[in-house]
Amino acid sequence: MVVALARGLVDQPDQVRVEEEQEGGETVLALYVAEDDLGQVIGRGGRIAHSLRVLVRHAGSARGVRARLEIVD
Amino acid sequence: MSGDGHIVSPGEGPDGVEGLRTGLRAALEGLGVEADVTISEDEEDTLVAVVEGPGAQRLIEDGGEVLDALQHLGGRLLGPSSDGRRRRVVVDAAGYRDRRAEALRGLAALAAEEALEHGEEIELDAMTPQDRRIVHMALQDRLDIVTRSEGEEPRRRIIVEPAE
Repeated sequence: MVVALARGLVDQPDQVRVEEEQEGGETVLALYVAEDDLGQVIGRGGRIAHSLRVLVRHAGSARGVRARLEIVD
Repeated sequence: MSGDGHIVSPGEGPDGVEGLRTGLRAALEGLGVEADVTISEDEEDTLVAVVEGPGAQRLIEDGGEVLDALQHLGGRLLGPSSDGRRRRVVVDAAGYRDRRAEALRGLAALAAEEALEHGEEIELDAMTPQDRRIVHMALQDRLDIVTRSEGEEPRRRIIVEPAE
């Protein structure tokens, strides 16, 4: 989901990568995008990042896990 | 597939609507919501994506947080159209937008009464641009009231005050 959404948001979809890590009972999704595309996944006032985080949190709870999105810069 | 020389790549359908549809479907799948998306255009050139299906109800729990997130992303997933404009995107499920608009109009009327009664500014909570638009429009025909927005996103909020 995160990969598909991020690819729809950026100018360089082939640079989008998500790594999944376990951190103290929490699933952390680390989102990597091209440096020039960081703004496209963060948005004005961080609103795009906030929206992505809301979806990741809810997608996690639908699967019974605590999930968090981290945008790696 | 080929032969007529007409190629439409994913995400580049007419006005980028396919990009919106693909993104919303991916999000619904990720959320584990069993539903489909119907996209139509309203009279104000806004794209309205309605999520319908057994799971749609889940999107409007928690004060519409998920629906608002989908709507905000929807606006960005929609590529600019051929003439470079970016259209507004509304994402709705289970009649939520109508109910929310009704509640916001009620809030706007209450704030207007309060402003007139006390002769002072009433500051509303921070809202999304879409919600602010509904409040502004609810009061725009009132000659005794003016509204404006203050602050930066995502803390931008409406001030309702008596007209001079």
